[in-house]
Amino acid sequence: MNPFFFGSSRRQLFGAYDPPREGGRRGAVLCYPLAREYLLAHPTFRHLARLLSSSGWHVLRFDYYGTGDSAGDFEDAGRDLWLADIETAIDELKDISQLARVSLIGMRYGAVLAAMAARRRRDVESLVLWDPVPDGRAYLSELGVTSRTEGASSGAEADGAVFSDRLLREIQDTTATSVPPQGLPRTLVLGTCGPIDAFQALHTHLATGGADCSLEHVPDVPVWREEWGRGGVGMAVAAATRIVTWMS
Amino acid sequence: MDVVTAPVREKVAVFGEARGLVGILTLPASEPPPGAPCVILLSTGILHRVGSNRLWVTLARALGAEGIVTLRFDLSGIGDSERRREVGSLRESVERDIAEAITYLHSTQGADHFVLVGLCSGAYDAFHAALGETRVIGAVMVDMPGPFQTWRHTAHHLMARVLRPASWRDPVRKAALYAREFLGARQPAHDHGDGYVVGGRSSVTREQMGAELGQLLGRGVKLHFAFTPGIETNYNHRTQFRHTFPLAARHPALSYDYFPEADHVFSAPSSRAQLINAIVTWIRR
Repeated sequence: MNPFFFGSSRRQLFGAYDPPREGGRRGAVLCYPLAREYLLAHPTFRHLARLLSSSGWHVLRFDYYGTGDSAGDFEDAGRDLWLADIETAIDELKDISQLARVSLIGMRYGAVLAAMAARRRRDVESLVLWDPVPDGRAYLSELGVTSRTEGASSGAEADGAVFSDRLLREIQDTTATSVPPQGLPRTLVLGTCGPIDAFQALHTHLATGGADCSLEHVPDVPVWREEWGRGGVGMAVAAATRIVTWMS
Repeated sequence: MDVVTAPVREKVAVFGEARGLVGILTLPASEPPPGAPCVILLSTGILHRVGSNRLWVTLARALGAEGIVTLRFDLSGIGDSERRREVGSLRESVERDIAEAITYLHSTQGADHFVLVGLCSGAYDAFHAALGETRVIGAVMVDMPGPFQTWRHTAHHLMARVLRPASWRDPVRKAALYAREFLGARQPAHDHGDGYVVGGRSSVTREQMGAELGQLLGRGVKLHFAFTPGIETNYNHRTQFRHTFPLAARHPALSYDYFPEADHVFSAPSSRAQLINAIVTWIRR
């Protein structure tokens, strides 16, 4: 695994590149969830990257602007910036691997971003939406977003992250039909916890709109929510394994 | 490639005997003063070097803006760092990780003195690493689990529960529970075998920690403890440290802070800002 910074000098992004163990004809960019979900999902993303790397994939996971080790602050970021970051990551992986096309894997709101980014490009060959957020308002409620009470600042807070008014609107506007299906590559909607019905509307929207989209349920740990003590780490092993199989 | 987040620069650090440890080195824009210590921020539990709510990212950048070099890294097996191949206890692994971080900073920055900073399990790691590492001249322990419980702590704990309406739903059972707690008949600490505990209770005795504090202070190590009521079974009022370790609390090289409005991970931005300001101020001194 090779950690490094990439992108423009004004918006440096942190990335972790896993080269393929052998072969190397496929590449994947991993799109994290947001805020505390990012922290909790980090071990699973590392595990997924290693699985893919062992299966012959070039893999790049990266932190969006204002998150993780990347430059900037969360409250200054938003959907458009992050979509641009995904595109920068795609270009970076293509440059490293000399591949013409890559795949995108996103979890939770990262899945929403991955789908939106995939539509902007002609070089995304497959897309995995891992427990995507089908309802932005419900998602914000689940995060426990509350209005800021400190000073005259606007926006809202959830689990320590400050959401700008603009980002709140962008997330609130997220629904199962937010991403038009036209132009999407081969797509897997993967649900791991809760009723699969939660993703049915999204799958129906994409499939009836002409996207090559499948829906699967792989019971596993909701890694973006759980937290473990020092004695062990929980990871969505079954879901990660299924993703690698589907992509291969 | 260095990242410029004015007025600091950030670069990836891959180090250790097996080059298995990964971190981010935050450098001030200008040369740090000669003899200035380097600060090492330790990862907490399963959370990697970024820290809860990017606490360590923000702290490292704030320290960098004050001319202080900081390394925040993932302990072995956490985040992007590899697991150690050799067999050993968790305590041994942590101590070797910290030693390798110190070696890295010494070889790349020419540093000879170090300050360790940790939260929760990281605080415990910082405190115990300082005991065995003479190059550590200071340590900041945030919400460190320890033998801080006193009868005052129990009284505060019980009073808070008594004042909660929900506590009175089953008065007979609750009264028996309170009596048991006040008399000290509480459940034993869950010890992972290396002194680290779950639930804010410590298997290290007060006498042992008192001796360790004496050892560090006697060596001239500066210590700063910061507590929140976030793990209420561990710490729940401002003067608790003074009552637990009265001798150490009076030592000029030891200080302690209490953030009554903060939770264990400093979720509120204002609490984080207060903690970061307190740590930066303490380190600058």
